[in-house]
Amino acid sequence: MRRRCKLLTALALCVALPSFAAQAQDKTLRLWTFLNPNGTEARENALKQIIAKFEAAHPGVKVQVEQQVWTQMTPKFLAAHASGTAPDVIWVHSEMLGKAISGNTLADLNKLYFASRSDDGADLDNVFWQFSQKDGAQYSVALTSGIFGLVYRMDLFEKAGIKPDSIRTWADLEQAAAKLTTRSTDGNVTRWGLCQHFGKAPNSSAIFISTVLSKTGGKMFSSEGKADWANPAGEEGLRRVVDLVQKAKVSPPDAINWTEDDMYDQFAADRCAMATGFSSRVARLQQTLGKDKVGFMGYPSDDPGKPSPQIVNAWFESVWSKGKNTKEAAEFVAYTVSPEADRIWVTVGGTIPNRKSTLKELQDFLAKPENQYLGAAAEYIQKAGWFPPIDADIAGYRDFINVAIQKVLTGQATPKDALEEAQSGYNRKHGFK
Amino acid sequence: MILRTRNFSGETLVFVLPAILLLVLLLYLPAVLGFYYSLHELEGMVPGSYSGLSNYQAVIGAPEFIDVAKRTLVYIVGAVSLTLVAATGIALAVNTLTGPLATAVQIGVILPWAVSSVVGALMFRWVYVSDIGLFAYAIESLGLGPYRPLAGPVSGMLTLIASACWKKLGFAVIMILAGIKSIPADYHDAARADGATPWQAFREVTLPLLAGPLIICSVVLAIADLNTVELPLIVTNGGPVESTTILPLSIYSLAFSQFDFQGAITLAVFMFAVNVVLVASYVSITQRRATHA
Repeated sequence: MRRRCKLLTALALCVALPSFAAQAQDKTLRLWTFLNPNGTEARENALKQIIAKFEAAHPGVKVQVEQQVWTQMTPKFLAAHASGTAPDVIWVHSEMLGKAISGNTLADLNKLYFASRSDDGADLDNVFWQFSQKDGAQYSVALTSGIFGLVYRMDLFEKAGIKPDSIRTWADLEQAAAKLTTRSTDGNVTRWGLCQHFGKAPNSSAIFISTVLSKTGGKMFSSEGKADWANPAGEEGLRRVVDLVQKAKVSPPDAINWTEDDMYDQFAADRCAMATGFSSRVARLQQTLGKDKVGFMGYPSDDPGKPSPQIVNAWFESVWSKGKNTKEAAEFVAYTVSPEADRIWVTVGGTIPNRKSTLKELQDFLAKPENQYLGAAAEYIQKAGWFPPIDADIAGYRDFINVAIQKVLTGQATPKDALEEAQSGYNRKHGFK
Repeated sequence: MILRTRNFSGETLVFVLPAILLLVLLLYLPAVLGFYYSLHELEGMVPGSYSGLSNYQAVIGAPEFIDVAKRTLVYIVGAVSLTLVAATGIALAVNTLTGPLATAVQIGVILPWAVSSVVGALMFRWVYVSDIGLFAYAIESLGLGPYRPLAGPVSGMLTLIASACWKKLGFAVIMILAGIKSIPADYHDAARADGATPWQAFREVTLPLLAGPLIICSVVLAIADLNTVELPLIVTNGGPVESTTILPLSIYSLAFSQFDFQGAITLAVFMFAVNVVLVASYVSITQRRATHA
């Protein structure tokens, strides 16, 4: 009996040992992102395909996605870096990239990968690529980049006889919104011409920001991050936002508490003809409303035909500086912006091309009416994209601006007083006197 | 050798040790670390130089703190009062019902309490608060629209209080119903025999005997309401104009909207201290009741 047990144990070990050895050779890269590769959204489908192709090309390396809440992901990463438990690959929020770099949490991708591949760098060179460079190091690649602008219903525009390129000034925008606002017989609005959102949220106050940037030449903050929006440009921007609700009555007053997601829900529920949205959300709205129904355009300005500056945004995929698998992680990061992956991001994920070569190759694809938004967003970024100062900690500024907008909407303050209170509150919070 | 005292043995320790370890790991250790972090300057999530109580001065001395504290108090008092009054009425009504009807009413009341907080808050918002929700549609169909409970600071706070009541009503009904059922029927028979009206019987017999369960229930509800972040976050988003930004939501906003981890940790430790006071009250009340019983 004892002999049989020993024999069985030895047999079991012989079978198990090779698989243990194989597992010991397998490397697992932990990836923090807000996308779920098993989800149904376009970008999630793209990520799933990219991961599958990377794993097929790199036997022994597995990518394990740990989905996170996007608002909490970067702060969690910084905490995890301090405790030594950060993931190998992280998608960093653009507003916290400076903090992540200065905290030495991110590895230099030039040393790990790109230094020996200068052609790659040239093909990837754009405002996002440059934004994540510091002192000769490359800290990130940009994924799902985009810009805030006007998401609009192409079918409703056509029905109302409005051409998108006829919206060249703020006055044109208000007129178009008025034409697109529909009411029932008892006077209640059934569809708003232009939906905004003023709830405290990480993304909002886009029309205010566009106005201020346009009037001040891009000076909303000092290079250290001190706010400078309590001025005539700020008052004009705030009045513009509020007048769309109260005077023109083309934006819903309920938006005082809407988050960005509430606004997209309303848009998808056919309650908005236009919305102050982000370009990379168009693909998801098209999944709900139809590919030929949702388009994108930039914000107009007082200068006909010249778009207002607007914040660009991206998720900056980076390698953790203290990870055990930095080489493999850098290869994965580089793969996610490879020509093959970039094509997948565009054709499957509905995101703007990262590479100049992708833009050329997919000209026919981008020319299709349902993909109009990609070209429009790429052009808007090129003409008027604006990045906040990377080294400045400007976190939370939108909260202060939105509260100022809410105060004016509820009649609790004038635009001047509301903006001064918001500016001084923000500056005090960030240690500026 | 097994350690034995009058009421305690090593065997007892073995059984409670896992629970104690979990409490230490998930509650006490983070609280102690949080307190430690709040006494230092955080440099990228790592404690740096010792700063004493200056972080507390900065957070509690900020102009907005008093407003947040007042709103939190209004919210807790409002939500607890409304919940107790509604739960007492429902419990009294359910106590008179029998059979399937009593069961159906109890299930209907307890259901919001049984679903997860986030799901409950989302449901409340979609059905009752959103302008594209069923309730708004019903209101406007009756010609009473338009319906905008979140458009004003006062209506926003009332909506938040209503959502807190809706969510915790089931729990309060269970506790108060148990209290009602523990009152001997003889007392009510005697009151009826003496010619008391139903209101007099309630005021002179039921209510005094329900005092214990009501006090315990109010402390438990206050603790639960103080620590609720999902309701103000999902139902009102803290607005409009921060009129429904209460203490837990303020901590959440500091951490995940403004990335001010220093302020968030400091305020969280302060809130932990308030919770300790409330829990101590709860334990003191229950111990006193046990002694008198």
